[in-house]
Amino acid sequence: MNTTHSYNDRQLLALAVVIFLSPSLRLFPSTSARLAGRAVWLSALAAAPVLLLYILFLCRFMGCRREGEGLPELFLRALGEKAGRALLFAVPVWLLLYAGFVLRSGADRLITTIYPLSPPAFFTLIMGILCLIAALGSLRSILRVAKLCLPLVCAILLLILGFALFGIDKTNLLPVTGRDAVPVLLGALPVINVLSVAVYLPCFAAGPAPKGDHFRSYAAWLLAVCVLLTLLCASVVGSFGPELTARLTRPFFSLVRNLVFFNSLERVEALVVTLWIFPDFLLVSLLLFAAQFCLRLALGEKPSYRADRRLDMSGRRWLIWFCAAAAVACGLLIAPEPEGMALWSEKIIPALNMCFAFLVLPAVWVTGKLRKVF
Amino acid sequence: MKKRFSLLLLLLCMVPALTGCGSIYSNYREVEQILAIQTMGLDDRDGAVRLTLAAPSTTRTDGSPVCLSGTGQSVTTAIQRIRNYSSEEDLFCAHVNHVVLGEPAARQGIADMLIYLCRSPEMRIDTPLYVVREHTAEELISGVVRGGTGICEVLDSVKTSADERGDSYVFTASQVMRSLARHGSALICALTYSDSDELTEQSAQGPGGQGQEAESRSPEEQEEERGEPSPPPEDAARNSEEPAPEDQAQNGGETGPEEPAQSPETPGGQPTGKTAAVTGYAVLKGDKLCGYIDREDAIGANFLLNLVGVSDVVVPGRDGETVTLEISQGHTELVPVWDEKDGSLTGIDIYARVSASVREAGEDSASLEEADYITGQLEAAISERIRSVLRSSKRLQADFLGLGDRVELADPVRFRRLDASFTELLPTLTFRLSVSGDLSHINNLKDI
Repeated sequence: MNTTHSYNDRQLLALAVVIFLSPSLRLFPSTSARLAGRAVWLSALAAAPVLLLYILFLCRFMGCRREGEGLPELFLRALGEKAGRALLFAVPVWLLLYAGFVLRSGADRLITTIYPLSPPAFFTLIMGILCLIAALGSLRSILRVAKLCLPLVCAILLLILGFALFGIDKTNLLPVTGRDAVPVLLGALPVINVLSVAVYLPCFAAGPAPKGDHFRSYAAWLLAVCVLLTLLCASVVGSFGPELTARLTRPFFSLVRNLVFFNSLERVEALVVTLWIFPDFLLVSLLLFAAQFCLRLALGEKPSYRADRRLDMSGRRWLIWFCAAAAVACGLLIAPEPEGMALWSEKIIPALNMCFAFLVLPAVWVTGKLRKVF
Repeated sequence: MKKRFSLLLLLLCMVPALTGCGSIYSNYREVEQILAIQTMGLDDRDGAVRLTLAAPSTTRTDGSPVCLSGTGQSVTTAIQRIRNYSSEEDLFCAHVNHVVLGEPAARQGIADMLIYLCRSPEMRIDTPLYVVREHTAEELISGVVRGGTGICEVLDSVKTSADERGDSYVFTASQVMRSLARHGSALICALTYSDSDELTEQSAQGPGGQGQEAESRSPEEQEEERGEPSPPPEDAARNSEEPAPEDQAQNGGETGPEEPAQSPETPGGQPTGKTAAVTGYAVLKGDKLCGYIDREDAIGANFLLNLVGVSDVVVPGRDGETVTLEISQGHTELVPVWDEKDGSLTGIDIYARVSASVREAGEDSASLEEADYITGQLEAAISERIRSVLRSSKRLQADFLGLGDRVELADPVRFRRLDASFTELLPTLTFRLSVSGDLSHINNLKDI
C-alpha cells in the first residue's frame, strides 16, 4: 500500500469514532444490561484496560510496517506468499459478511424506529449503492466525510445525553458492590467487541505512519470513547432501569423518542435515527475498501489508496463492484425474517469479530515474529 | 464538464423521490388527512382486546371530539379493524398522550398491553398510564364529554394537575414495567368516572369524608367489610344508569357488532356532563390489579416515594375549627433495622419531614400554642396516611413503594445477603415511623 499519507492520525481517529457508533447502539447497552444488571454503566470503563492492551498490541503490530506497507501487506510478509495470500482471500469474506450485516442492521434500525411497514431490501440496496460510490473513490474522501460527520453526530449525541441525564433515577444505577464485579466484566464483553472493530478497521486504511508513538493518541481516544459510552449507558439505564433496558431492542432510540425539548420540541427520533446513516455509510464504505484491497493484493495487483477514476476497471477494480454486490447480497440474505436478527447480532457476528480481532491478528503477529520477518 | 453532467443527472434522478407521491416507500400524508389520536383505551372483551381511540375536539371542524372503538385479538388487529371500518381519516397513533386501562382488563392482567406499548414503533414508552376505577376504558373515553371538550382535553388537565399536586402522580408505561420487573408490583394513577357535579360533591366533603372513605377501599376490602361479594366491575358498569358501551355504540349509529363506535354524545347531542378525575392509585401485583389507594392516602404513598408536591390537608384546630394546611415540601428517609446476630432485616425506621403553610384557620392561628397544636395535627395526619399505605403494602405483600430499593441503597451488602426477597419479608417487617413537621408560614392577617 502506498503510504504517502495525505491523512493523519486525527482523521483516522475521527473515522474510528464515527464507525464505532454504528455497532455500539445495536449491542450496547441492552446486551450488557442483560449480563451486568444495575452496574452495567461501569461496563465501558471495565472494558478500557483490555482495549488499552489491544491498542498497544496493534500499535506494536503496525509499527512493524515498512514504508509503503499496510495491514494487508503485513499479512503477506508475516505469513509468507502462500499462507499470506490465503489469508488475504479469507479476510474479505469476513469483511464482506460484516458489511452485509451492517447494511441489514441499518435497515432494521430504520424499520423498527421509523418505517415499520417497509421491506429491508430497499434500505440495504440504497445504502449498498452509496457505499459502492464511496469505495470507488479515494480513501481520503471517506476520511473527510468522517471528519465532517464527527462534530454533527457528537453534538447531537451530547445534546441528547445532556437532556436524558436530567431524568435518571439513581436507584436504577445504584448501589454497586463488589458482587457486581463479575457481571460488570461480563457486560464489558459487548463493549470490547464493538470497540475492537473501531480499533482494527482503520488499520486497513493504511493506519498511522510507521514512525512515531501513536499509542498515546489512541489511548486518549479510547478513554474518551469509554466515557462517552458510560454516559450513554447511564442515561439509558438510569431512565429505564436495567430490567427494561435488557428487554428493549434499541433502548437509546426509545429514550430519544421520549425526550421533550423545552416543552415544545418532541418526537425527534426520526432525525436522530437518520443521522445514524452516516456511521453505517462510513463503516460499510471502509469495509468495502478494505475487502477489495485485500482481494486485489491477493491477486497480485498493487492497489492504491489514491483516487482512481470511479469507472476505471483497470487493475481488477471491478472487484470493488463485486465486493459491493457481495455485501448487498449478504445484507439481503442475512436474517430475511426479523426474528433471525438477534442470532446474528448477538452471537454470530460478535463471535466472528472476536475471532478475527483476538485470534487471527495476534496469530499473524506471532507468526511474523517467529519467522523473524518483523 | 462530464462530472457536472453526471452530478446533474444524479440530482435529476433523485427529484422524483422527493415528491412524496406514487411510491410504496412514501408515507406522505396531508395534515388534514391525519386523525391524530391522543387517548387510547384498552379493555378486555372475552379474551380479545377492545380498543377505544379518541382524538381531541380540535381535529373536527364542528368542534366535537372523535371516539372510535374496535375489537381484535391484539391491539394491532384492533387498530386495523378500526382503520378498515372507520370512515375517518388516516389514524395517526404517534402522539398518543394517555393510555387508559379498564378495571376489568387490569384485573385480567396488563402484561401484553405493556409489551405492546414498549414494542410499538409509533408509541412512546413513557406514555402515561391510567386505570379507570369500576368502569371500562371505553365507558370513560366515549362518555366523557363536557361542552365542546372530550376525554383528551380532560386527561390533559388531569395530567397537568397531577404533575403539580402532591396527592397524585401519573406513572408512565416504562415506570410501570420497570417496577413490575423489579418489585413484582407497581402503582398506576387511578381515575374515577362519574358526573361532574357528583365529583364536586365528593370534593366538597373533604378528605376523610364519608364518600371519600368509601372510595378508599378496594372491592376486596369492601367485600370483606360487608361480608358479601361485591359485583364484578362489569356488573357495576351495567348497573349504573348510563348506557353500556354497546348501547352507546348503537346510539352513535354503529352498523355492525365489530364496527367502530362513534359515541361521544348522548342522543340529542347533549353533553353527558360526565368527567374523569384522579382518585389515588391502582395497585398492580404481578401484572394484575389487586387494589386501590385512595387519594387521601396517596399523599402517604408520595411521601414514601419522595414525590411530595403541593397538596392540602385538613386538620382540626385547638377549638375544633377546621384548619386547612398546604403541604409545600416533604420527604422521607429510611433506615433499615438489622438483626445483629443473624443479619436478617427486622424492620425499617422511617423519618418523614413535612413543611406546610396555613391556608385557612381561626383568628388566633398566629399564637405559639395554636401553631404547635396545628403542627402536631399535621404530623399526626401525615403519619396516619403513611401508616395506611404501609399497611396496604404489607397486607398485599407487594412492594409497590419501592422500599426494597431504598433499603438496598442504604446497606447493599447486607441486603444482598438476605435469604428471602424483600417482598417475601415485607409482612414480617416492623415499621417505626417518625414524622417531623413545621409550619413555614401562618398566612395571618397581620402578615398581609
